[in-house]
Amino acid sequence: MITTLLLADDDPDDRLLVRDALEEGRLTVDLRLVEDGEELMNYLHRRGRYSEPSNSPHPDLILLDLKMPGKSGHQALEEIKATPELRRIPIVVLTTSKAEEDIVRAYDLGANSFIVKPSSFGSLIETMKTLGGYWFELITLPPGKIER
Amino acid sequence: MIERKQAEEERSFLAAIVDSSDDAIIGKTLDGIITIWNRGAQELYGYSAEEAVGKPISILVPPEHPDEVPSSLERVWQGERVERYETVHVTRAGRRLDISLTVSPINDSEGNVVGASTIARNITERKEAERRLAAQHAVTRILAESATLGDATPRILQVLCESLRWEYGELWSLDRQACVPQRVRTWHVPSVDLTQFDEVARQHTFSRGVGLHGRVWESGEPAWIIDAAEDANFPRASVAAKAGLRGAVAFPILLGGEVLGVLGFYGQEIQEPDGEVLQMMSNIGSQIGQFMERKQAQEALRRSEERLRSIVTNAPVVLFALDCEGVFTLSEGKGLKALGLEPGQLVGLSAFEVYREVPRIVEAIRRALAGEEFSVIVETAGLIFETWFSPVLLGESGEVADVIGVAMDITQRKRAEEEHERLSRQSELILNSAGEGIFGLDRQGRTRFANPAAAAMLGYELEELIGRCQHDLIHHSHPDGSTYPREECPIYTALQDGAVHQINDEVFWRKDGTSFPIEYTSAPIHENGEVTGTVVIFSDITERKKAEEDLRRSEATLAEAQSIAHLGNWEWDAKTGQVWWSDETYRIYGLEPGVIAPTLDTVTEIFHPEDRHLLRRAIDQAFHQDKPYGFEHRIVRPDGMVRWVYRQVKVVRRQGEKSLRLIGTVQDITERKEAEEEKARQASRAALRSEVNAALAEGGTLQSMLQRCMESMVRRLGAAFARVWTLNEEEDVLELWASAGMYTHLDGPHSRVPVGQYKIGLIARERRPHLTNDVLGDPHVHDKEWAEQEGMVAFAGYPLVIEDRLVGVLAIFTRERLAEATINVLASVAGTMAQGIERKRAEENLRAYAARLNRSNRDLQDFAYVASHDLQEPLRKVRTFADRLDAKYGEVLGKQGRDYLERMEGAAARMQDLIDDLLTLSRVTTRAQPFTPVDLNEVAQDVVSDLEASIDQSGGRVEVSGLPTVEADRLQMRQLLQNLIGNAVKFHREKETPVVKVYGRLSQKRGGELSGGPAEGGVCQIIVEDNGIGFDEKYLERIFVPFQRLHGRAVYEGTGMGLAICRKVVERHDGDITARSAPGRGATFIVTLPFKKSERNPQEGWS
Repeated sequence: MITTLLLADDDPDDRLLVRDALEEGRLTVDLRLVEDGEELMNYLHRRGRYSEPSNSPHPDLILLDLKMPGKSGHQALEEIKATPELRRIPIVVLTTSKAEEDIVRAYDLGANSFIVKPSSFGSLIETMKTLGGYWFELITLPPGKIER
Repeated sequence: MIERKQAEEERSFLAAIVDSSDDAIIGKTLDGIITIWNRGAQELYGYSAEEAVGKPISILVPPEHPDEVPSSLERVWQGERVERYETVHVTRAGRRLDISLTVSPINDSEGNVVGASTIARNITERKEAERRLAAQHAVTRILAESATLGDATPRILQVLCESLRWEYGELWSLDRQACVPQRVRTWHVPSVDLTQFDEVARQHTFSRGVGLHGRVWESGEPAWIIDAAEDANFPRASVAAKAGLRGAVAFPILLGGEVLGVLGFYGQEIQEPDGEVLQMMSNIGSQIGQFMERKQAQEALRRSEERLRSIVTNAPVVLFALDCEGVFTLSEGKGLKALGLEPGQLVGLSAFEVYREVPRIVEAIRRALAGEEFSVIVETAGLIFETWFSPVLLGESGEVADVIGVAMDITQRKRAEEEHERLSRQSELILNSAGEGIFGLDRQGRTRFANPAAAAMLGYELEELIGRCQHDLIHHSHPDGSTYPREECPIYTALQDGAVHQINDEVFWRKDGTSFPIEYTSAPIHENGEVTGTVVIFSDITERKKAEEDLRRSEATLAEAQSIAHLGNWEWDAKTGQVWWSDETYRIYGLEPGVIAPTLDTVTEIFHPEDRHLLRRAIDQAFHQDKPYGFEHRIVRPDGMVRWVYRQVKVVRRQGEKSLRLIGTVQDITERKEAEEEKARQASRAALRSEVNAALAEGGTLQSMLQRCMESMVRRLGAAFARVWTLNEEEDVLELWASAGMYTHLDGPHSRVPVGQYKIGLIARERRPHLTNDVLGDPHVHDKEWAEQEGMVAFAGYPLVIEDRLVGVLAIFTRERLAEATINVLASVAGTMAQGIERKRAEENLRAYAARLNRSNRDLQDFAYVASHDLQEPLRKVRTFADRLDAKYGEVLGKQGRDYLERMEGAAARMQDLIDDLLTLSRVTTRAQPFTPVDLNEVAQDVVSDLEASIDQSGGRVEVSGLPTVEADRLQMRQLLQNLIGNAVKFHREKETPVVKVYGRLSQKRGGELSGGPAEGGVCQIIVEDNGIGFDEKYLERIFVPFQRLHGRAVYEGTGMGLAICRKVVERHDGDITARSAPGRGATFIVTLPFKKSERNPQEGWS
C-alpha cells in the first residue's frame, strides 16, 4: 500500500521543493498538500472539499510548517493532538524557524519530530530520504485507517 | 433317660438363669418372632411373656427407627454377633428406653442359624445422665457463644428438647414492669404438628400460679406435670392432648431469687418427676440467669462506656493521656478541632516531639511525669489553652504510670478577661488622670473609689479616704460651719431618688480643717438595673469665686473705666420708644453729642445695611430673655465711614410694669477688628503661598496642578474667580488651563485668547501686570455691564514669565478691593506658578519623549526581529533555486554562468549569516531568559567542546580556569563566551599555536574600591586572553559596533556581529566589556559582570 504524506505549508516554493525532493530521492509516496492550518484541519476532519474520502486519504505522516497564515502550525498541532482520533498520526514539524521557543513549544504540544528546513536542495533530498527511511521503513506506524 | 433328665435339668437350670436374669433375655426366630421372654424382659418392657411371645420383635422398636430390627437380624443370619448395640426401645406404656443390646445367633447342632437371642440392658439412666451432662455442657457452650439471650434461647430450647426427649420447648420472659409473662421463643421437634398448641399459647398470657409457667413463676421452683392432659391446673390441657403432649416440665430462670423467665418443655410421654432432671434444670436456669445478669452487666458496661466515650469525644476540651514515656495514648474531645487535629491523631506520638517548640508544655509534661499535679496556661498558635496534668500513680510504688490531662480552650475567656481588664484599666486611667475630683460611693455613702485629684484637693492620702463615710469626713458642715446633716445632702438623696444633682454653693472640708468652695455633680451608679452607689465629680471653684468677688468689687469703678475706654451708654424704652445716648455714644457714631434726638429709626440707620438684621434680632430677643448679651456689628457714620462696634444689651423689667427697657453699651472696636482681619488675611495669604507651593510640588498633570492653585486663590483671597492661561508658542495663543470660583468651565470665548487681544492678551504681550481696584472705570475691562451686575470691584492679571519667556497669564476678579499685601502675594504666586508650569511642561515633555523613545526602541527591535526573520525565507529560496539551477542546468550554463551562480550563492550565504547574526543580536533583548545562577566554568567548558573542531584544526588549546558563578541568562553567557573564545581561536597568528586563556578575577567596583564578592553586590571580571593577531586599540570602539570588521572577509570569515552581540549581552547584564591589544601582540577581552543583577535596573523594560 502506498504511503500517504500530508504536507501543510503556505509557501508554494517549499511545496514544490518538497515534491521535487521526494521525486529525486525516489520516494514513492502519495503526497497531499494543504496550504494552512485551517485547510489541514478540514482535510483531517473531511470537511468542505475534503468530504470525499478519496480526496483525503488518511495520512501516515504529516509534515507541518509552523508559520502559516490564519491557523498557525502550533494551533493545528495542538488541535490534532487534542483530538483522540487524530492524535496518533505522527507529526514532523518542518519549518524555517530555529527559535528555541518554537522548538520547545512544538514538542510540548506533542510534535514527534522537529526539522529545520534545510537551506540547500541537496540537504532537502537527504532530509526526505531520512524521513522516508525512518517513518516508512524503520518504524511501525500506528495501524489502520482510523475512522474520522 | 438320665441323660435326658440331666439334659432337662440342665435346660431348666438354664431357663431359670434366663428367667431370673436382671437383664432382659429375648429369643426370636429368624423372622423376628419372639420365642423367649424372660422376667427381665417383662420388667423392662412391661409386656408379660404371654403378651410378648409370638409377637414380632418390632413391637419394641419405636416407630421412628423402623429399620433397626431387620438390619440386626440380617447380621445375625450371617452368623455374626451384634455386641452392645445401643438403641432405643419402647415399652408397653409407650415409654422410650435406652437399651444396650447384644444379639447373638442361635445355631442348631449342624451349625445353622435358627434364631437369635437378644440380651437387652436398660441403660436409660446412664444415657440420661449423659444427655443431661451433654445438655448442660451444650447450654454452657451456647451461652458462652451467644451475644444475647435471644440468640441463645432457640438453641438452648433445641438442645434441651433433643437431649431430654421433649417434643416442645418454650421460653416465657417476665416483663418486670408489666408483670406479664411473654412467650418469646419456642422450639419443637419438626415431626410433630404443634401449630394449634403454639397458636393457643401465643394468644394467652398467664397469671402467677396459673398453668405450669404460672406455678413456676410463683414458686420460683421447677414444676412437673406428669400428664398434661390430666392436669387440672393446665389451661392448655385440651390442645396439649390433641397434640399428643403429655409430660411437661418447667423451670425458672433465676437471678438473685427473682424469676426472670420460665423455660417449659413438653413431651408425648407421661413422665414421672425426675430429681436429676429437676436438678439439672435448676442449674441451667440459674446459669441462664447468670448469663442474663452478665449480659445486663455487659450491656450496662457497654452503655456506660459509650456514654463515657461520647463524653470524651464531645467534651469541649482536649482530653489526653500520656504513658510514662510521654507518648500519647489518648487524644479526644471536640477541643482538638480548634487545634486542627482529628480525634486520636496524636496517639502514638511523643508529646515531647509534638510540643518541641513550646518549652512550657515540654516542662509541664516533664513535671507531670515526675508525679506533679498542676495546670499551665499556654498560648500556642493564637489560642490559649489551660491544661491540667494529673499523673496516675502506679499502686504503692508511687511511680507514674500515666499522665492524664485536660486541655481547655480558654482563648475567648482569656480575651474577654483581658478586654475587661483593659477596659477597667482604661476607666481607672481616665478616672485617675482626671483633673476633677472623683468619688465613687457605695450605698452606705462610704468611699469605694477616689481619684488622686480628689485626694490632693482634700489633703488626704487615698487610703485615708477609702472605706470612710464621705459625708462625715469632708462634707460634714456648711460653709458657715453649721452642721450639714447627712439626710439633707444631695449626694445621699441621689441614692434614693436616683436623680442627678448639680450643686455649686457648698464646701468640702480638708484634712487640715479648712474648707473650699466646690461645684459638684452627683449621679447614681446603676449596676444591673440597681442603684449601687453614687459618683461625685467635683472641682475646686475657689478661683472662680474669687474672680466673681473681684468683679463685684470692680463694678464700682466700672463707669469710670468705661469713659476712659470710650465706651458709650444708651437706653431705649420700648414703651415710649425713647432713646437716650451718652455723649460717648454720639462720638462713636461720628456725631456731635446732642445734635439730634435719637429714635429707633436713627439707630437703624446707623447700623450697616448688611447688619441691620442683627438689630432686629436683638430687639426680638429682648422680649424673650433676660440675660444680657452682646454682639459685634458695623455702623456707617454720616461721612460714610464704616466702623465696627461691640454692643452689649441688657433687659431691665421694672417690677409690676409690663413694658421693658433696654440698656446697654456700645464700644468702637474698629481697630481691633481691622487688626484681626489683617491677621486673617495674612494667614490666608500665607496659606495661599503654601498651597500653591504644595500644588506645584505634587505630581499629577499640569492641569490638575493649576486647577488646585486657582481653587486656592478663590478660597484664600476671596476671589470671585481665578483663571490661568498658558502660552501656546506655536500659535501665539493663550490657552485657558484652569478656572475656579464662579466659573469653572474651560471652553467658551476665553478659552483661547490671542496674544495682544483683550486685557489678558495685552498682559501677555506687554509682560506687565494689570491691576485695578476700579473695574468699572478701567478702559481694558470690556464687559462693564457684566462687571457691574456681578459687583466686581478689582481685577489683577499677571504675566507668568520665567527667564524672559512668557509661559502664561494668571488673572483674578474680586468683589473687594485688593490690599497692597494681597497684590504682593499675587506677584510672588505668579512667579512661583510660572516656575511650576515651566517645570511641569519640561517634565511632561521629557516623559513624552521617553515614551516615544521607548516605543521607537521597541519598534526597532520588533522590526529587527521580524525583518530578519522574514528576510530569511526569500533568501533561502534564492539559495535553494540557485542550487537547483546548478544541479539541473549547470551543464547548460557554461563555466562563466556557473561562476556567476557560485558568486550569487556566496552572496546569499553571507546575507544568511548576516541575518542570522542580526537575529541573534535582536534576540539578546527580545528573547531574554530570567536570570539564574550560572557557573561560567561549565559554560566555558561547553563552549570549548563545541569549538573542538576549529580548535583542533588550528592545533591550539583553550585553558579555562577559575571562572565565577554569576546570576545571569545562561544562554546569553554561552553566546558571550562562544563569541569571545571563537574569536580568540579564529584570529590566531599564522605559524603560531593559538593559546587562549579564559579565567576570572575579582574586580574593582566602578567607584574604584575593591569588590567584596558575590554577597555585597560585587563585580567580577572574565578575561579571555589570546596570543593572536591583536588589533590597534584605536579601533577599540569600532569592534563592538554591528557589522564592523577590521579584516577582509577573504582573510577571516564572519559577519562582524560577534562582538556587538557580546556587548549587548554584557550590557543587559549591567556589566561592560573592553579589550586591551596591540597588533601582533594578542588581545585580551575583559568582561566585567556583577555577581548579582542589581535591583535598580530590573531586567524587564530594558530597551
